Amino acid sequence: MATQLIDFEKGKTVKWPPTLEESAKEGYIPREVVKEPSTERGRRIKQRLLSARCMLDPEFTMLYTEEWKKAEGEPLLIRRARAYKYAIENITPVIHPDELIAMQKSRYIRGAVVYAQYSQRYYPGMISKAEHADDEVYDVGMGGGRTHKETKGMIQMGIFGMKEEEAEPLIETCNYWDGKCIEDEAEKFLRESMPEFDDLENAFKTVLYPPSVVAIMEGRWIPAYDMVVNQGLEAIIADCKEKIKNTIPTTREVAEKVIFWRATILVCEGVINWAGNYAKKAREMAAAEKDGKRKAELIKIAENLEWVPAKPARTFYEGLQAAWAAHTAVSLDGPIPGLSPGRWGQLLYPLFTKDIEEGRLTKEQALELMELLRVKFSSEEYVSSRSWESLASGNLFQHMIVGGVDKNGRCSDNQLEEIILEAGIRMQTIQPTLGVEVNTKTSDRLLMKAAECTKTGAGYPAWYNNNMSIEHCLQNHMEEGVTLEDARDIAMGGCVEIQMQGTCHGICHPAFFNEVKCFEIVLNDGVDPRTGLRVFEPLGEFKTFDDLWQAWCKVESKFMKVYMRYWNYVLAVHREINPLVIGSVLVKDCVAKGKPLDSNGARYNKTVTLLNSGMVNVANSMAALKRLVFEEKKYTLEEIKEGMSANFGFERADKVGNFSMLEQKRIDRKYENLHKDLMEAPKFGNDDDYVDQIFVDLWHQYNDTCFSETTYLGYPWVPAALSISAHGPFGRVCGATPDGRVAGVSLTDGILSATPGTDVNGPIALMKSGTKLDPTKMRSVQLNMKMHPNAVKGVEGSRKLVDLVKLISSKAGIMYSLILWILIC
Amino acid sequence: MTNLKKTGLVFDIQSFSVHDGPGIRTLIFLKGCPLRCLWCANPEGQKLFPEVRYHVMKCVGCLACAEVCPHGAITLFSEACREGKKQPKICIDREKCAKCLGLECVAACPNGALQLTGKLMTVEEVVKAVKRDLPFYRGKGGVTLSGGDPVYQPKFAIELLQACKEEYVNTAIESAMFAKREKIEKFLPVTDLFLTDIKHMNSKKHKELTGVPNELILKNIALTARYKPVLVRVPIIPGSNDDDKNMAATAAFCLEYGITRINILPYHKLGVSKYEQLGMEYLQEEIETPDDDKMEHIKEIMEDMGVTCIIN
Ligand code: SF4
Ligand code: SF4
Repeated sequence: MATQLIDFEKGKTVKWPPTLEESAKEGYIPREVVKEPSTERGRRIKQRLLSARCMLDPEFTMLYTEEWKKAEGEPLLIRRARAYKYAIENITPVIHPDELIAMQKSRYIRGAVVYAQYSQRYYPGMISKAEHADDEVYDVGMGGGRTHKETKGMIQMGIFGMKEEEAEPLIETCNYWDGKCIEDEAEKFLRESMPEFDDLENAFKTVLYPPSVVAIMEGRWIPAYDMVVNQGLEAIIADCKEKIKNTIPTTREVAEKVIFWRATILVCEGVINWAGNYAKKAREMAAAEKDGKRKAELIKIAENLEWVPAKPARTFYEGLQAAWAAHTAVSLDGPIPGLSPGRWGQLLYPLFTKDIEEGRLTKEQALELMELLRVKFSSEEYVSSRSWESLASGNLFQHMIVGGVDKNGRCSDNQLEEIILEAGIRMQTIQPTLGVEVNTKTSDRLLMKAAECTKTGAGYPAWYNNNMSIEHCLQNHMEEGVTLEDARDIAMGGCVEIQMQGTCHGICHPAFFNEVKCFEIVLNDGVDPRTGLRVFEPLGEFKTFDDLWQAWCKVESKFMKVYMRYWNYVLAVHREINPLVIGSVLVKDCVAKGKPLDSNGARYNKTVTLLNSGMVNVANSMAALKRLVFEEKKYTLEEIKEGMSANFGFERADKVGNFSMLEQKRIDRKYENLHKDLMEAPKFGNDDDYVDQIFVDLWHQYNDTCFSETTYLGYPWVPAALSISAHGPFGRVCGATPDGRVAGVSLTDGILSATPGTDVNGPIALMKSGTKLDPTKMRSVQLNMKMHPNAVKGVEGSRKLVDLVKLISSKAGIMYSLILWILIC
Repeated sequence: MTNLKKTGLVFDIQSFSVHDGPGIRTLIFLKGCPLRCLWCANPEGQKLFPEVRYHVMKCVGCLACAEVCPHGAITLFSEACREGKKQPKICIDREKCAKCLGLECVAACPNGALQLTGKLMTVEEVVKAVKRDLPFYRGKGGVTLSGGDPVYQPKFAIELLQACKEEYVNTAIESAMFAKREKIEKFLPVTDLFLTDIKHMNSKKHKELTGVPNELILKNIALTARYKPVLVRVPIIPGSNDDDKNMAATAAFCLEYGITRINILPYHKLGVSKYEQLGMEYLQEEIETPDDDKMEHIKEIMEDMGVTCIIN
């Protein structure tokens, strides 16, 4: 016995748990995290933002339309450029008190710009407060303290206020676009040319697809901010002039290049003049300003804008202003939810270090600027139909990224990125949302800062698996000859979609495919139970599980294809009447190639994606049927369907007034045992191969269907897996399902998330289930994890959180993105 | 060679714990404990047989459970309370259940109102769950056997720890150390870290609070500390063990045996609903959670004597 006791670990002191001092010695500073903006100014501006009313601003679209009419007869790109230039040069410059970074899309503290040229349909309706037929299904995300009292001279439109005097001219503008806007034009095109037009209509009616997103259709991308910050717009103009001089328009293709360069010159001039208007405004305000300090600030703003974005930025402050001007200029071009700044910490780091070294800037000043910048991002709202707003929770998804690697694959995180995170901690605004690219090389220092940020409960940063994202880009853009350097320069376009910076066409999509609705139609022999519409020919009896599977494949692929084709028609119209100009200029290599984004001008064009929602419900439903009907034969399919149509004896969710499964009430006991058996069937998220394999097969089927179709740019579609908040409204229109979910209850959110309450083996089993799906071919795969604050308390807790994230990225290697929510209890 | 077929009674496996040992850990809860601490937060770990937990909120009073119970242990609580939501609808005779082997009622309930606590598992089955977490341990993390008290099922626990060692997994146990010396000795080679409590230095007081005296416990701690790292945790129960004298005595004892790190844990009223579900009574009288000042004060006393004291 005695010899057995000798152990090499004998005498070794375990330092667990470590004390705060020990943690500090290792370089981690403990703080449990509630912080304020670092300056009085920041606190004031934040307060102002929080109490500001959301306003609708039609100024841009009205000016745009005015010039668009005048430019009739010009080549399309020139007409677009002229309208943009005129509008941006004439919108009212507004500089709010205390601001250090100027320029904005709307005239308001919180404002949304109207784009009647995309969709004119719902503004007149909003003005007359007409109810929309879909309101019942899509009113999530409304209310919640977002309404304001009537004010004089102001009208209320949904969650927005608008100046009463602008209602009339806005309706006029809309009338002009009636029949001409992208949505109307696309509908004509579809009705006349799409063979599956009836299927399309049925799919919209049954909510296999949510209502049209044309009003906010532009994709998500990261502009090439370096072109503005490091080169300046004058350099682009000079480049185009040079190109025009050296190009003889021979074929149509060459002539079109010249037209694009001419358009480029116009929009760049427009942006420079717009900055000039702001500079003038700042000078005027400075002249009238009594406070000496503020006067100097205003003069500084003017000096900045007299230099950038025309010329290359010389200081960090100018660089930030230039990047912000570029961001705003691009986002004015159209409704672009998800236009993302990307890695500004990388972009601006050289200017930052130079200023610090030369004593022009302190870190505190940089922090204040980054905090104020957050408010600028948060001031921009977007307006869309109520339905989309509920699908996306009204979030603009401007995503800023820290971490990752440089073009040579070396760890690139820097002090400025820590400041960006600190600003996120101190100035908690919803935009820009933050993300951290976790590479095996990323420093613990940055990750600990990010953990601190997560622990504020702000809901950011999201954590991304950098190594896998690079792999995805290499794989996805292989046929376009992607370089390793470009693949390493990634950030997020929009919420969780991987995108290379400044070189890609926007990730645009028709919206979400409702997988659960599709499954209901399959089980119901091709008829939608809610509307009674027959949308597919009778499918016949399912004698085996394979019969069911085959039917599923038929229906799903048909409606996915219809959806993708539909979007091609819409984008074709977009290309013919509304190609992006300034948006194109700031994506490489549009100017070099002389082509806008819509004509494959970007370096990488394989970006159009399809999204879906509810796959976990379908997988669990199939597993339940496979086991209980086809294997154990405990029930017939008819018996289960009977239970489903009786809602398993539960009260309807809308009567209960709650759409979470955990809150549902049983009123009839008849189906108790059936429901129990369904609930006890294998569920995704428990590392159970029985159901996980079905889950994987479903995704492969989905992916293959995506790859089988071609986008308007001539590349295969890319499958993406993210559902934002589509699961709520989609669930409302779906009846009870064989996974035990009752009618109306939200679908399972996220992509690798389990249905609440059904993952009983803990997070690792959940991840194991997720690992079975190889996501390399998919644009985004997201896992939401919730943690109790106690689990990550203190420095030790932060370290565990960091370990966890690193392990998930390196070992489990599944999803690209991990969103950790720290529950505040 | 490990006997992978050896079975033990496990009532929970928690993956991914960031408490209860360094790094990210898998916690395995074994049923059965010789102590009866008044404030016990895991009463379902006390008895060495499977128990049924009754969730009032889920019960609709259908008596499907009573129909299948071979021992007539379930009766309708009372007709009158059928409607009330929080009122129990059935009455369970726990004495009859204590001898029940079939536990038929659990499967019969269509509403999940009756849940089993404690399941016979083989070492192999538990190791399978552990292996799933293996990639996440990364040197630091590992397995912690908790309970109940793992020492109360020594054969199973040791086989399990042995199996973990064969996978190069770091092992810890959370035990009250109330066992014969020979039993504890068997744990020494397969356990990397011992987490234990000192609830009171005075044996008589200890018995009042936990139902057993402390001599054996202290001896075992002293023995273990000679060979393996021991982390002593002291639950701070206001009015019961939090006096300065007892705190100083605790620190002195630890120092004597080379234990330099003490974890003090403020009392929290936890697990009360579990008592109800198990048909047990919560015996700890109403007391407040000790405040931060109190905890700091105790920390000061201990640190003055030369131990490192951590509040958590
Ligand atoms: S415990 Fe279950 S089976 Fe028993 S009466 Fe309640 S609901 Fe019915
Ligand atoms: S545990 Fe056994 S004795 Fe007790 S109620 Fe259930 S079936 Fe009856």
